[in-house]
Amino acid sequence: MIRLEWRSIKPKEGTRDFEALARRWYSRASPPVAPSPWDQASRPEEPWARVIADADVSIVSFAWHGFAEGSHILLCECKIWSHEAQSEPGVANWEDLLKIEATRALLRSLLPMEVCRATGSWEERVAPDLADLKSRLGRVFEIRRRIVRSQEEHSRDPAPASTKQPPVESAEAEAEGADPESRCRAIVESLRRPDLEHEERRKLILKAEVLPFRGQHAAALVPLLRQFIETYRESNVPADLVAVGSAIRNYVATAASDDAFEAAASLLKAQGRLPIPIELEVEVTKMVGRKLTANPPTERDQYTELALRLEELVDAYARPRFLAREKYGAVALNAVLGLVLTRSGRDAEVLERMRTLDVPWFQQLLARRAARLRADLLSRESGAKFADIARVLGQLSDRNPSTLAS
Amino acid sequence: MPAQRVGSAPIAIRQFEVVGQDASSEPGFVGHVALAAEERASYAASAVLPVLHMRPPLEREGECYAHCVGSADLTVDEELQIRLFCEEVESEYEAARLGGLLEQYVICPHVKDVRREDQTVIYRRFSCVGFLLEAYREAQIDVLWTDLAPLPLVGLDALKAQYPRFVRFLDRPDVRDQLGIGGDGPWPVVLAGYILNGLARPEREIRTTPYLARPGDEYFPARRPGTQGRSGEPS
Repeated sequence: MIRLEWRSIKPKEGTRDFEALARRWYSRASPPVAPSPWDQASRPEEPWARVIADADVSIVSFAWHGFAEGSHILLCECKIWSHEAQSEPGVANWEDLLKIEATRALLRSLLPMEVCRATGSWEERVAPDLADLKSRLGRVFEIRRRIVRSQEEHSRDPAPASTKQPPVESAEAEAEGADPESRCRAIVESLRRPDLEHEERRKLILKAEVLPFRGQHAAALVPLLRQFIETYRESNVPADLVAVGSAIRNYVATAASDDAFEAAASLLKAQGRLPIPIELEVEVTKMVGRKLTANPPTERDQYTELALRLEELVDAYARPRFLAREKYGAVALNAVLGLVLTRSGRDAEVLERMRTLDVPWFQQLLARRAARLRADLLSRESGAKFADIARVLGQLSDRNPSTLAS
Repeated sequence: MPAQRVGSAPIAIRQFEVVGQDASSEPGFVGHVALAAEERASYAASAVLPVLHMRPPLEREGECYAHCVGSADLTVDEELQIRLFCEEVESEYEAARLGGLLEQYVICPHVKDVRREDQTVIYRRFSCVGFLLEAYREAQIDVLWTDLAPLPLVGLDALKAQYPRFVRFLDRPDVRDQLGIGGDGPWPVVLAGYILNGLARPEREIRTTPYLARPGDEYFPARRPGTQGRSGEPS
């Protein structure tokens, strides 16, 4: 039996009642959606229902969060667990589930289908694009289904006994305590194995960040990090996102500049795939800034695509309403500095935007960071080559409202 | 005075004020410092306080007992700047929680950038007090002088009191080396108590002059050598 269950979970600070909004949204849908998700009836033609049936999972809880006040972002979290979880009364959200040991084990057995997330845009006054949301949800589940299939294929087709490799944990475990180079080699070898358990892969991705990868090991690691990022960037499992964040830092820091910035631009692109969570936007923009600081572009507008993506972020987030919200300020700050460091030629607009922002705490912080970056650039032997960047950073550092006031 | 010990009389604690916890081995020796994660209108000793701190790893929703509290009387703008700093680094430490703790912690210096071959910073390592000092510096409040040369030298015994969780590791030269305290010491380490003594000054002074720590500042209130108790001087 498949049952769809819609719940509202506690709205985040500053949001309205999104369950009520979602209900209104469905009631206005054109053509009408029948039955509504609250009818407790499954619709086998719904893509998510089919996937759930395939996976033998019986409860789906969709929780609606949202950011009111102009952003019109609707975040839909779909939480799935098997019918055995029904015996846990009052289980209403993922955090609660994690506290229940029995259920945790159960969820682990459902990996990677445990939590999915989709986002869709929503305008209260406009008929919702329900088809678009469904399509996004369908794609999320399709990705999960492919992963499940791939895992099943691996489990059905184990390597012949004579050629079977030792357990994946052992390679890295054996290298523990060994010299860093051996550990780097062992991590690369383990990550290359398709039969590596997901949890183990995640652990190795995290370990790779703190080891000094160089030369051929670094070159071998880079595509494995990219593959991990692409596979799990849309995951809603917190531990996956932590590992993706780690992989992003490692990838951007380790890959050649061109590759790193191409990947960063692709991750920040809003169209095509689901936007990455804001936690990952913090990592991408922060690492872009760090990479550009260490390797300023030798030519002007060398990374056009990246500059466009950073400009989009500045446009979207550098607004008084957003900056005080958790993590938006961090993304905006790094996007502004990153945009200047790309030498994109879009500096005049950024400077004007920052000048008129009227968010003193953010402007002060930006001014101090810009001043530090400028001093760092000019202290280098090659500092004179980047006089244009230094000039814009100098102008940003003069934007300190207290300076302007005096 | 903007820093005080917490007694039985309730006190108010504001978000991002500095919270000190005594070492279990020695009352008065500040073993750990954290940022108060939320405001408490009335906090008394023995109550648990939500904190944001570098244990390691960095914990956004940690808890500790506050034995002393230091304040720079932060403005709302300064609180927002500190919060942004924490948001920028927190995922690096989420990773440390799942990966290796020691690799992302450092004792000396109090903060250290880790770089890849092309000099890109991949993550930053902090000590517990280093995390707080850098968070406050982000709001342009430089509480403490941290150039290594004038700092008091600290011996292994004092470090073991400071880091009871690392006692086993601190006896291993390779781990000491990894934590930035190679050799046999003593070392110019920034100890947790220094920041509280740095905050035990008039607010104007806190904001204009970094505090220069002296032997005995590992305790709060400070105990100067030759006056009472141990000094924290090299053993």
